[in-house]
Amino acid sequence: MWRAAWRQHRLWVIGTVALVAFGGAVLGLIAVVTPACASTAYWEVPGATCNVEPAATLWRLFRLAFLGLPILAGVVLGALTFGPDVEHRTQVYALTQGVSRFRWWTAKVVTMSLPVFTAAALLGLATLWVVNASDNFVISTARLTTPGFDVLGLIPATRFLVAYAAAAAAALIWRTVGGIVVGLVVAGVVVIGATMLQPAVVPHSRELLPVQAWLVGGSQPSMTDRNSAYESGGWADAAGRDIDSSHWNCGEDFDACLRANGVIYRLETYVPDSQYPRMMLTISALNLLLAGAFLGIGARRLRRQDL
Amino acid sequence: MTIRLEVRGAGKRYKRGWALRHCEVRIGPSSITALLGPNGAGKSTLMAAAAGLTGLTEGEIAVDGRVVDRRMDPALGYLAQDKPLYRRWRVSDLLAHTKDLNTTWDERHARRLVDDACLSLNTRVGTLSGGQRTRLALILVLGRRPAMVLLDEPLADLDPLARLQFQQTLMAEVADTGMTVLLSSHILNKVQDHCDQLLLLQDGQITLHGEVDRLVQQHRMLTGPVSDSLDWLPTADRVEVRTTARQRTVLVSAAPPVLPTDWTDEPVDLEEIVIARLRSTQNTGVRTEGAA
Repeated sequence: MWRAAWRQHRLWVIGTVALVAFGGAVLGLIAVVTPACASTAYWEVPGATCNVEPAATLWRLFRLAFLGLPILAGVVLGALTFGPDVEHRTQVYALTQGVSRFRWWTAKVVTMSLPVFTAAALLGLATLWVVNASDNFVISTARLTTPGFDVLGLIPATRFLVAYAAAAAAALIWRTVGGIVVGLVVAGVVVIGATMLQPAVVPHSRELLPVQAWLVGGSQPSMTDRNSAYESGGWADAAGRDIDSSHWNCGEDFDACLRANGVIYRLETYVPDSQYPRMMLTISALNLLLAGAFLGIGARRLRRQDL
Repeated sequence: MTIRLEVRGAGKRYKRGWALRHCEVRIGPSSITALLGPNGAGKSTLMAAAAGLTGLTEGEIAVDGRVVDRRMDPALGYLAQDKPLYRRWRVSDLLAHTKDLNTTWDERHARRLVDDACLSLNTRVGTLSGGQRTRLALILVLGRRPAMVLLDEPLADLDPLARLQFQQTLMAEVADTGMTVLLSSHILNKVQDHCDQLLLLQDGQITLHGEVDRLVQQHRMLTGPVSDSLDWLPTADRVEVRTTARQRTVLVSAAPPVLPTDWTDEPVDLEEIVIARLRSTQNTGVRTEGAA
């Protein structure tokens, strides 16, 4: 059965893996063509000039492509796993051979999704490694926020899987076009949902800064490194408790207004960069759970379907 | 090859209503059974249920005692009405694919059948004629060496030559292996020469089942005067009564031992029996009491 599934889907699988491999090559190229002058140390050389634009453009394009392609690939491959078989009724031919429905479903799903998932995971991890290892501002990206978060680590691969599973399940019912539409909608909801959920899955850091020093710019929060994700700013009393400022009606004398409301500290809330692995793994796990749910729906649908 | 297909109280309900209801039938080994019935009678549903493609709402179907549950029994082969095949593939790809999908596959046999059908291995399936495609679909079924094949309207849309070639391939296989065949059609004359059993399905119910020879022998056409009453003829035996100005003809499923004066008794052929059954059901609704 595995050979049969491979024979049926190999062109799409090879094509998609080749596309991911091309992405890997582009990533390598970016790392190579990024000039040494992009290094933070280079700017210490007086009078230095440098053209980083080609590498920066390539990096932007890479991020943009890697942002959308896993989802697009997942939707298309998912819909094509079962859609054409449903449309041309070739699933009747396949399921009247010596193979059970579950085995047929498993072989097709694994053959179509596993190589691409693996390739996307490798590219995501390679991208993460390049970002972590680079000492230049061209490749630098915030890992906790879009678009950095979406193209690093296991996120592209798991998003591919969600889109794939949703499209595959939908294609069993609504054929290829239905699978693509449902896959795109589900992937869109997942991306938006994950973006909203991201900060909630890791503990936030709170930093209290003496308000007077903060007002004159003498005290800056330590979170302002390039990768931390700023969440919110507010005010706190002497005990460090949040003060609700929504009902304040401050005039021109803001200092007096703060004092009148018992403000002692400026409160900065943020997600430190050190939380990135936890955030990435948690969102990836949620994506995998969602993909598993859609795969389960698809398998159940096929199990009960009258052909 | 010995195999037995049993349909026990099978019923299948779709949203629009029952496609099959109270079906009871047993198909014995090494028989060729024609499953006849008008369009929409439930032939394809019964075939699909036996092949494990469709679940039943009630009852069950068993192959050699193994209940079919949405998976085709390994001893069966099934050819769908629309013969779905991968049209962009070459014949050789399809043979290899079918081999990979089966644990039992007779490659030599399949290749020989392909040669007999004069099909080129490099030809794309989509470029084959309807007859060639049907024959290829049959070869893919026969390559599995099934003990029983279920053929759903295999002769529909075939020209006479293609039909003949298909029948020759099938009959040669039956002669070689003793394979059991259940073959559905809505046109009797396409299948009657080759079948030894008949199964008539109307409105989802089996209205006639038996050996063709026995059915032909039992059914008689009685002709007599219009003025005579039919009280002497049990209602259950009357298949169809036709009255003209001059005479009355009654097709019966069993002729009485003694006929009244002026009545004659003539044999009928299978086509007359089937058409009379279909016509009488059309006029009166399904009659299951006449089912054998």
